Amino acid sequence: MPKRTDIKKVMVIGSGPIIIGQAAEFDYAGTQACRALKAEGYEVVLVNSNPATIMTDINMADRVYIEPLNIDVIKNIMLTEKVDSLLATLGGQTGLNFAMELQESSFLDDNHIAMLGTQAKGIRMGEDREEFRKAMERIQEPCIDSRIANNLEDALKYAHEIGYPLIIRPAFTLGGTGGGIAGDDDTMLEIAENGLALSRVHQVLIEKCISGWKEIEFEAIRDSKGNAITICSMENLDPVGIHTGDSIVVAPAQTLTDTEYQRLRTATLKIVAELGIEGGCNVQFAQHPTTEEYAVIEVNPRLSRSSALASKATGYPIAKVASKIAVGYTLDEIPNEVTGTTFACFEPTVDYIVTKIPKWPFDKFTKAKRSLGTQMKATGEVMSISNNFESSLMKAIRSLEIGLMGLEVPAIKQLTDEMLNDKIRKTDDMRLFAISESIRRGTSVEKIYQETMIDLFFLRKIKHIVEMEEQLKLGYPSNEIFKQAVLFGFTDTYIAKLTQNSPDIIRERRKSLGLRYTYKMVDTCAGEYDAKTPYFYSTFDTENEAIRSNKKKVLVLGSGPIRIGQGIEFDYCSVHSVWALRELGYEAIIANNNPETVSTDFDTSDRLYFEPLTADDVRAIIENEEPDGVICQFGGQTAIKLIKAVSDMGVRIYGTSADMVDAAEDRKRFDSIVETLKIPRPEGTTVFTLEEALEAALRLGYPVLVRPSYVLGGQGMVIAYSETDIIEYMEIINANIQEHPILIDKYLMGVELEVDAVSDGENVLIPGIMEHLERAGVHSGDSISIFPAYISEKFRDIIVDYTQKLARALQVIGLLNIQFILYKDTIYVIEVNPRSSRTIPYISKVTGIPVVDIATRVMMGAKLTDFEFGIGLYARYPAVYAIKAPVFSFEKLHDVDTNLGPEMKSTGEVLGLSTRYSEAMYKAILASNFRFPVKGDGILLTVRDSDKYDLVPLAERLFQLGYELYATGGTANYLNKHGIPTSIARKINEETPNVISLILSGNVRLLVNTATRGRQPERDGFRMRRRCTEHGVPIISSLDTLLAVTECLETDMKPVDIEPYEIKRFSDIVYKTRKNILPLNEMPSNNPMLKK
Amino acid sequence: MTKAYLIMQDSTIFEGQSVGSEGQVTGKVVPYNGMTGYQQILTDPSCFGDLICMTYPIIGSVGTHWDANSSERIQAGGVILREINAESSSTYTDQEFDVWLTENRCVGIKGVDTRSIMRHLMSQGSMNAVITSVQDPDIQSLVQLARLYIPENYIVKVTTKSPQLYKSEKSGKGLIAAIDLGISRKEKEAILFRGTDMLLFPYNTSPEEIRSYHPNAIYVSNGPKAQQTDHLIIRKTLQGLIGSVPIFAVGNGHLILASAYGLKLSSMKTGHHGVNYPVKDLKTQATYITAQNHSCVVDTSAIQIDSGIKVTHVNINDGSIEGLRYTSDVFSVQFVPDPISQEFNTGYLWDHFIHLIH
Repeated sequence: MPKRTDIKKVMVIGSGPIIIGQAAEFDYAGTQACRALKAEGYEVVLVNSNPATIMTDINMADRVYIEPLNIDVIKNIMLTEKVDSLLATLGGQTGLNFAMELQESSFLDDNHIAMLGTQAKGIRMGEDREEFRKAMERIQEPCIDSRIANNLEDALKYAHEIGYPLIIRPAFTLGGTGGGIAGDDDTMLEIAENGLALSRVHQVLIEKCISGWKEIEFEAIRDSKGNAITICSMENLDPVGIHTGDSIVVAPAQTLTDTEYQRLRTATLKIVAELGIEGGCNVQFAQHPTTEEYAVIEVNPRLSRSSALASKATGYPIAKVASKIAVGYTLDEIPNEVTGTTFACFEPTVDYIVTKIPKWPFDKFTKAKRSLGTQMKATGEVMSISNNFESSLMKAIRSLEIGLMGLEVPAIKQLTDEMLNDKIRKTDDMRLFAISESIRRGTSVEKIYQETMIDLFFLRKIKHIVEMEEQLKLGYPSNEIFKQAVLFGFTDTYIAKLTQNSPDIIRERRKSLGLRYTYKMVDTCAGEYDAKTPYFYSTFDTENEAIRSNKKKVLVLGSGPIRIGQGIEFDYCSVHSVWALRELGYEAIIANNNPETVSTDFDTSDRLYFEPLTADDVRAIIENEEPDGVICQFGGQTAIKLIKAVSDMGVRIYGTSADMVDAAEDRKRFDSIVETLKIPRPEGTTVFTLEEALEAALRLGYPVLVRPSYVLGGQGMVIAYSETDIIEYMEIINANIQEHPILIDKYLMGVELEVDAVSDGENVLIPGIMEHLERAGVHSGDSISIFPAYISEKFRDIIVDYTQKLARALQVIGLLNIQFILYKDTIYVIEVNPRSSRTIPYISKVTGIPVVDIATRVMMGAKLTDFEFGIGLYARYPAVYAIKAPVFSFEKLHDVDTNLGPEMKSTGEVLGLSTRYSEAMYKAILASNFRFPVKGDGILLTVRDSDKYDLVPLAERLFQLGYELYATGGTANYLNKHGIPTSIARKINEETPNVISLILSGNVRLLVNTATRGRQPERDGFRMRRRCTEHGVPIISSLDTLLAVTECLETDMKPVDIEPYEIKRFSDIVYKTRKNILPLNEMPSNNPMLKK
Repeated sequence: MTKAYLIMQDSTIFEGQSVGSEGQVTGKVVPYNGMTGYQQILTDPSCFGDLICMTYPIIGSVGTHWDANSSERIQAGGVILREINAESSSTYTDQEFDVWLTENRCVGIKGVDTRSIMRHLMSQGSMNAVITSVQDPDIQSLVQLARLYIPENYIVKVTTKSPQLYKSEKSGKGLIAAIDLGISRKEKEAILFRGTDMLLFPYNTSPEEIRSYHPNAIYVSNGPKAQQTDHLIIRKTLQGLIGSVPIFAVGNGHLILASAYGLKLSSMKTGHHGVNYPVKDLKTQATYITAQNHSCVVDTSAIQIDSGIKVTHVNINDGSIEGLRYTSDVFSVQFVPDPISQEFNTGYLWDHFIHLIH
């Protein structure tokens, strides 16, 4: 069927900020969708609150709205834009939920808007547990015995009917939020209560627990004519019981017989037919490990994390094909762009093994419960490709960037047998390594199978690696063993480490044995047709398919897995750099290992190497490609930390040199630079040991800021108020071995300011200056960031001057990011990062300056004066506000303190755009999914002594607005003494009503809690905050944030009132008013500068 | 470990290790791109004598099971693979894959760059080769051996020796006379499952003899490529049967039926060998994924518009003929349809065939 001609303007809903369970995969999907729809001649209107995405780029859609994902906002945009159709199956669960709400409220019908792709009926069948069960009954596909409960009594009744153990899952939630396994009534009731609260439809599924069965997934695609294919099978190494997002996943399925495989494939096709899928669909099965029994676990009638993985694993562009199906094409009409000669209607076949390992945030959240279960905890993932399982696994481990090259982990080696067995049983993020250690100690794979139900196939492969590690430790390996180690994916460096040799010697030996990196292509067809999209993985084989071209070429290093502190923004930068290089006529080569991203899409670069980002792997790519140079400054910490190794290989670095990157990071070198430039910086020093740290802190005077050098996202950064703090923090920081010194600085409680700039070595271009709402002490990635900064002209000039001087002194070519503090009328420089930053996508979009594009061109030789944006500060005080707010995933991570500090905790971000400060702030806070309390609701206040004075006027304003104020003892007395009626809330361990019962009863709809200083677990506060998080009560942990929220409450704005700004219209306003010196309209009254 | 060599007719040599039986075998190198089903393909009579090159890199992970065979024995001449997994983790294993190969005297080579072999075939066209575990082989003479290789009379090896009756569990829907050119288990099951009994005939049975059993319909099975003489015999048999009862032919049967109707066959560069070929039914416009294994095809240009012969199915990738209809009750397809029909597969072709009886 040809494409639909009855529709002209399509609305695409994005998935919003990155949170656990919904990450970059929807940027990849949405970007592919927007491009496919535009290529078909449709006008595309996009709404997404996440500014770090590529899909919200000015050119991705015809009309881009970076606006809160709220039903009223979406309706408003749909009506203003007069869209005639909606594509919602590419925006994750968020997009799907909005589509269902629009459909169910008959908004779509009333406004004659067509729903594209899978229809509401099919979506409901996939999403609603009861309808799903009925659908499976109709087609005689087995489900797991389960019941839907709408209340606790039913839950208990059904639990007894089915029998323990049970899995409890809330309906309509992301990443299994709020689910869990229960073995008895008490646990069941606790999980069910929480689940009912979290479910949009107030339902939980009580289900027979099938832990230990194989978890198999099929990705399928179907068109309106009924043609259907399966793209890929995937097998979770971890059996049922661990969320698939937290499981190691292998593609294709490894342990199924042909009969089992065909049975599940047939079931998949039956299911997509029954649901009437028009587009992509993911089906999850549980296969009994020893019998024929299987069951359908769930169906996702939309693109998902698994479809991103399947797409990258096979080369089949699922999102693009799904978009074309949505506008009416059928599979037999859509070309397979990978081969160029075949069609989308065929099942990809792979001739390699793909391994995905999740990236968990436990290195950041050292106190979080690391156990894995039905609730997803990973923030991102890595994928690797190889032609044997061992090396596929080894590559994936290297890609994780957790300091490991193999299966041996020092901390795990130190565990007693008992602790080790316990760790294996507890299924946490380190289980793979615990299993390896157990095998190393002689436990049989059969015994581990009994314990874990991980298929013997995988355990034996793990054993091969462990045996090889041990073999190599014996010393000089024979040629045969050496060769086997290389084939198993042991890098030169790892073999060198195990055999106690130098990597150079190992490399020579490897080459002398004829073992060379050969690259194979991912082509969807196992070599049957010539592929057009060069997308490579390394092997040690006879034929190399990645033949070097004679074009001028540049290698761009990507940013690896999404993690806290290094999110999708760096993929945005890498992709834009690649695009700029291609425009300049270079062959752009990218190396990355994140399957969720646009950078690993088949048509983003000229060549893609799907490889780990370590010195060994990058060296091999460089040897194969011999690029003219390498770009390391866009891929976050992952890429920049390779700059020295790459530079040492004798390859040209485009942009700032490795030596200057070191000068910015090395404390002594940097200190001497700022001293020469006469730029003030907070006093500080570097230390290695605890003793040195204590001595330094004493000399500088508390409080001090303690952090390791060479880190991103403030990993391990803390404010220390006392010796005890220092002792505690040094222990945590030193848990991981430190190659680099620890920095200790005097901590200044001022206004944090931030700039991003492009430098060509002579001049700088600064798009704008950003200010952080929360006073210094909250990590910049976790604070609300306001553009433009409200500071006087004098300070703006100083910042431009300092930026210029630093860029010249560090000979920066390309991007740099500088953090300043304005403290007592002086601008101090905190740190300089000669690379891309988290704020690049946001500042690019709001100012309309293609920052990465310019930076790339400058790195390739252009001058800033070649562009139309001039030099110096571009937007001084434009008549707009662009406010970025952080988004957290605390409800997914138990035992993580929600209190904010200098260590970054947010997983994503949203943007609020307006010409009015109050509206921009309201939009930003609304978009961050903050649930504003309504008049009459209770607000619980409990603040540290130093904040009590500042709380009074805010509490007064909240009281005037009609909120009921509760506070704990000290805070309540203080407020009452100042004439603000406040009810006293009893402490946690006192009789009810106390703080907890207030939270549970729903009386309190907002918690304001500024923690006592330090991180010393102040248990009451911590428990109170966790309770709030688990019950969806928002928490404010800084009075600066409270002020912003109070102002929003005072404006009494509603989502329906807010004015959406199309992004081009917004950047036009910036352009027209960029030379303003003074604020034109509202002034942010919360600025500490104004208080003086 | 014993070294083994794969020596192709164009002098390309791959060195690996011996798996299965040691020894030497000559045959045509034929790829198989399925990620499962290694046992099924090696026992498929249509692969008789071929050296099957597995494109999936790990083979043997679920061992072998007697119930998974497509016929009673390994039919392939040899096997080429990258890595053998000789330790099955599946409960459905009664013999490890390597032991099974050895016991069935199948010669194989492992540890070779199978993707490179595949790419070589795709660029150079299909070719013959020798797998040998003879040490220090005389390359020149083996290249010559591969180059001069002429398949033996394969149909004789796979066809039934005498007529055999298969009763359906739910008998009563009639009798199908099946001409056995190397029938696979899948085909037998598809027919018996639908309630018809099946009388299997050796490929060289005369039309008169077949007719003497008064079958309700004729089925012509898939099988290995036939030699000229056999091809002529079967063609004659089919010509003698056309017009009496409904006929359905698949795979190689489809090719010989076409030639019985005077259509021309042509060789393909590498053929279709695998599990993921998209075939479009031109009547319903639906597209299906099919498993195929053939190197010849009915020449599209040979079909006269006024002949009454209709192309019913085509391959959407290369446009080749995948199905033909000669008369209202004689039809054939290039692939073996799925035994059990679902709305998304080709099982409807069997249904249609059985329907023609009534």
